[in-house]
Amino acid sequence: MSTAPPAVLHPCLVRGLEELFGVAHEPHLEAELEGDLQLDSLATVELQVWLEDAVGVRIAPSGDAAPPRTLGDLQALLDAALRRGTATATPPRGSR
Amino acid sequence: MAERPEVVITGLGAVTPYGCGVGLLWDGLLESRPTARQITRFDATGFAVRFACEVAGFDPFTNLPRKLVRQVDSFGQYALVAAEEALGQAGLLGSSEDDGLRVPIEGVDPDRIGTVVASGAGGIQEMTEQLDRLRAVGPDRVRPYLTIAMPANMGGGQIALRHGLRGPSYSVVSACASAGDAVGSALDLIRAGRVDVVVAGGAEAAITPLMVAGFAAGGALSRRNDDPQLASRPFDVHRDGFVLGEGAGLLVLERADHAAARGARSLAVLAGYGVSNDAHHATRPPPGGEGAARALRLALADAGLEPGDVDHLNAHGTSTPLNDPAEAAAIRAVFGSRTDEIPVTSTKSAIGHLLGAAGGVEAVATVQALARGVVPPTQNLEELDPDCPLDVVHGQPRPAPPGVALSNSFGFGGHNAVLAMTSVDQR
Repeated sequence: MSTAPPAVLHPCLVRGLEELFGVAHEPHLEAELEGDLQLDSLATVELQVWLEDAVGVRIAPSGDAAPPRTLGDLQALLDAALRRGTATATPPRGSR
Repeated sequence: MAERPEVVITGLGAVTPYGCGVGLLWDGLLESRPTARQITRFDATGFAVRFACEVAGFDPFTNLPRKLVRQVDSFGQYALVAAEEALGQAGLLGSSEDDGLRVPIEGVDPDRIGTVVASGAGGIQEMTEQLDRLRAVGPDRVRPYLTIAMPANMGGGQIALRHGLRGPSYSVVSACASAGDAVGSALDLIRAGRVDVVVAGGAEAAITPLMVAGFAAGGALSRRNDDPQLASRPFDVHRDGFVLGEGAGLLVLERADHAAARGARSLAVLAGYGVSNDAHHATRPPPGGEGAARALRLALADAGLEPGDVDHLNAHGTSTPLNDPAEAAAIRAVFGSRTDEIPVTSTKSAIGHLLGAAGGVEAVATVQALARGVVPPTQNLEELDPDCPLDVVHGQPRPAPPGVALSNSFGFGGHNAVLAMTSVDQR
């Protein structure tokens, strides 16, 4: 990824962390998904799918690139999707 | 032959249409409070059956960590909450810093604590929701927790994980006999020496559009939409089908000497298990109830009891036209004229049919009846069907001396499961 590091967490990402996983405090961008937030690979994908619904974008699969390791990595994927302006067929919905 | 160890029940847990906890279940049963009402889970407009017995007052986020709620379907949530209550009553819950609620290690080997938790439909709500997503927005939008939330074993699996139970752990499926067979299987595990303690029973959350439509299409459900609270009426001449319910009922089964060694209080003795198949029809029992009669006799023999010893029977009592007389015939075949002296009750009259959880919740109710010395009434019995000549307790709870009780669970597929329990005073 060649984007500049994001400065602040997307509010939907903050909300998703809280609603899905009970992360009450706002973590920093360098927080490791597994090490600091106890989100394994399944939980990360779960969060990604939830974000796609909440924000109304499609986050592209990482392909050959490494999967997101930190919140900053996940934020970057989300920002890239927002810049692409990819719309989904499903309107944004609330959390389950 | 080596003497089989005695197995006792040291904990009970329940989530039912009365709410969370065995206390609410027992109070509701004694007070004959109805629980059937219009379905709120989904819009049932246009459905042939529009009412059910839904769990009341259950907020998974109050009872479980948020991260765990995400991973489990409702049936798994019910199982987890009921398990915590049962293990707590059994004195097996410690606490840890991360709210892991581990079983205390001292004196209790977690390698020898198992789970046999049944479900008929498992995570059917999760499955149907994700199927809708697959069709609406494509395969890469299905959520990854589907394969954890959906499978029927995950009630027991998540219980084992949450409480650090490392013994044998699996699920049993036999439709509406599932939880009865789960408790019986757990009894066998302890007797075989594989485990010292088992969390056993069932959990079910199948009040979904697909299941309501399917059971209604099969003609199994009551269609009393205009008066849901009168619909579940086992053994009554005006019954017209069962009412769907949901929830979980779990028991902690324990080898008696293991319980005694750690000072645990026994609530009842699980004395025997009888099991059979009708091999007659996929949904209908034989009119004479021969398969159920065999299971009753096998349960008594397994418990070392005679028909004359039985003081109370918690019936399968679904309120369907076919089950109730067949069950009555089975009971009379086994007990003869003594049938008229055995008080019978149907828990399904109060909370509906909990399918794969029914045998578990009804075993909980049976233990309570033994421990408290009272049989709860069967609701809505206004005119006993002459084809169901049983002493069905109705109107008021009936005092019952400590003694021997049986609990019946029969399922589509011809499955018959009977549990025999005795009061601790009877030992």
